[in-house]
Amino acid sequence: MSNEFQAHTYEVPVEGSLGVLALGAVGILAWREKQKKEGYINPNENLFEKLSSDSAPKDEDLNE
Amino acid sequence: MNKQIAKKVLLIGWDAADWRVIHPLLDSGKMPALEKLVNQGVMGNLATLDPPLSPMLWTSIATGKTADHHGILGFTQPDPEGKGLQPVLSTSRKVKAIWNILTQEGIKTNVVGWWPGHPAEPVNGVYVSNFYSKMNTPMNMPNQLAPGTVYPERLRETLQELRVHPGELTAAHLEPFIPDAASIDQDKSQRLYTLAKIISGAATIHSAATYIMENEEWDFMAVYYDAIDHLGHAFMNFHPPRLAGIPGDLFELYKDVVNGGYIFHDMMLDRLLELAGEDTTVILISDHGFYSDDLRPKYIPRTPAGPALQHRPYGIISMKGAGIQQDESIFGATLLDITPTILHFFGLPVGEDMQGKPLIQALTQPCQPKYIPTWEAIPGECGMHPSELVRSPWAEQAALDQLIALGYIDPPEENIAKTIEKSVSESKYYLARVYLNAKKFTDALPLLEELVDRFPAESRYSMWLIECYLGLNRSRDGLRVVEAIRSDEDENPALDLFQGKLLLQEGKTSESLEYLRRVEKNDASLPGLSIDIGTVYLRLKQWKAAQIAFEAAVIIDSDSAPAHHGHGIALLRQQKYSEAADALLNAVGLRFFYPVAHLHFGEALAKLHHYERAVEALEVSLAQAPAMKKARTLLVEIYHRLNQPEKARQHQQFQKEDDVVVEGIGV
Repeated sequence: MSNEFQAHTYEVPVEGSLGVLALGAVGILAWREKQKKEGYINPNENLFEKLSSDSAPKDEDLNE
Repeated sequence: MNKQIAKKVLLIGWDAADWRVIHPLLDSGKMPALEKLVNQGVMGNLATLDPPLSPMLWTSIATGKTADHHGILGFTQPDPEGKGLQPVLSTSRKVKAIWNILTQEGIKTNVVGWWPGHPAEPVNGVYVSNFYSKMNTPMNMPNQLAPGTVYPERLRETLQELRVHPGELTAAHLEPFIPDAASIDQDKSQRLYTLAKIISGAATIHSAATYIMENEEWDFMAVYYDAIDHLGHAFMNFHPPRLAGIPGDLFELYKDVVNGGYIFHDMMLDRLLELAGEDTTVILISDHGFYSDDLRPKYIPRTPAGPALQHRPYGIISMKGAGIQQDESIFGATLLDITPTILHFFGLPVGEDMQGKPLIQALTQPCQPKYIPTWEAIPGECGMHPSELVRSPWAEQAALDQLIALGYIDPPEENIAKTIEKSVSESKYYLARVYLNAKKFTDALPLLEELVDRFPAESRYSMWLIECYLGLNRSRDGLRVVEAIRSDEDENPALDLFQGKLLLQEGKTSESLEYLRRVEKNDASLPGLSIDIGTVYLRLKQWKAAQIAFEAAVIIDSDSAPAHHGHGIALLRQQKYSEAADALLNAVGLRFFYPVAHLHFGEALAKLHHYERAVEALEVSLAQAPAMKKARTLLVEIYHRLNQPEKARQHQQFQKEDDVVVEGIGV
């Protein structure tokens, strides 16, 4: 493996990272591939579904 | 055709990005990609337009024309079937955008996420509409792209798979913004979800943009990110320094979110620069800024577009590429200049009907742009939509939901007719403000009079009508409106301010000052107050008092061109010529199209015996306002002094013409 190739090789963490998102399409595809390979399930997934519903709490703690 | 300066152009839009947030991050090395861009090119303020509403502004950026010409007037438009509202669409744009002009010139052109940009336009390349990043369905349900989101159709499936759902994000994505995210009680607050939606939206746009840059041909690429604006509306109140009234625990929790957003954009910028390569000209812009300091509004009115009060009138611009100066600042750029600049970079003529100018001051060897009367009359396949409209009601609903969540529009009322009427009225109101911004007071007047007549309780319509009467020198009518909306029980600093200005116009300077002093006592932070007080002192020829008032205005907002202008006049009249020239240079640096400030700058330079520079300033003043008699008189005098009688004679020919009313302080 050449040094040049190594410089563009990233270890994608299974939980993802902002760096991986910032890589764009290649980063996102590599991240999903890693999750699939390791059978990763995001614990936040259902939480966010609840929050996107109409009954989601409203932040009224500021007079915005 | 002019010489082509740029081989390829990458235009990146960061909605609401502001140097005032960026500078500390650059100084601490937290935005290395932007630092590289700035060091290798030019940077400056990009003056916005009024009203500072993003769909109107991004369309002005893409067309070089104001909203009265391009036709995008607000966030929503009536559904063609009369059943409700829809988000404003690309089909409502009446004129060619930069991508249409480049398409008809055979230039490979890609557009990602532009607002408004749905349905996608059939350009000579790839077009991904702004609906691409709108997702409001749960992760376990099909998330099909709305029809018309991607052009060409062959890329639809590939790009659909590249979208990032908020539910995909993990603590690893959110903790850089909110380190103590785990402590948030999700049953009480949805701020974490708001953050996840914004970040996933930006990642979605970035994903499509990078895919297209890597896999499709392009000469021009435009990418628009809305996340900095959305993070600002959701989290700027928690940004340091801590605002009065913000609870300490919430401040600690969310104080890093805005900076985190900029750092994330810098990471994405780094990737875009890498994919663009060294031979691409890169232009990074924002449509307006965002108040991040003591000027953050204390209260956001619950009216449509109320959150736009948080928008600062200066966005950002940074450009690098072949022929562009390095590590320099540019002055006087407005967002109307972007399309003319891109045309000039590609060696194409600028439309005379475009209201901006190519930013040739950024070039190492400025060459004069070529002009044609208009691009609208040039035939050829330009990728604008055919007449039939692509409809996608559920995706439109997602886009409307987002606008409601941001506070830009009200939730729909049960009475559809009333909802539509409100939307149409808002469009008229925005159009009136566009006219006022362009000093077309007679065009604005019937719109505002109609609105005030139909909605007497909407005080913002009345306020702008007063502004319009001021512009028309109809102070009597203005005072009548003030009296009509003034209620006895309330102190109303905004109305007092208007009353002071109207009385000043009537020549009642002492009474005017009385009102302005009352405002100062009740609400010294009211925008523009110090400038108005300073102006009254200038009229009274109380130069020292004027100087003090304008100094206060500069302290409140160092980016206010009128504050520097007034300061410069006050100094000029006290014969402090050097200080005056500095202040006036600041004014024209902040706002280049400012003929009366160029006049005063020229006057200060002449007093300092810098005659050549004085000529330059006065010629600019006359180029911007050809009938400005005072500038011409001064020029004649200086040309005689410089022993250039021919040039003096040329100007003398015009001297018999009447003077015109020019915006600014005529002192």
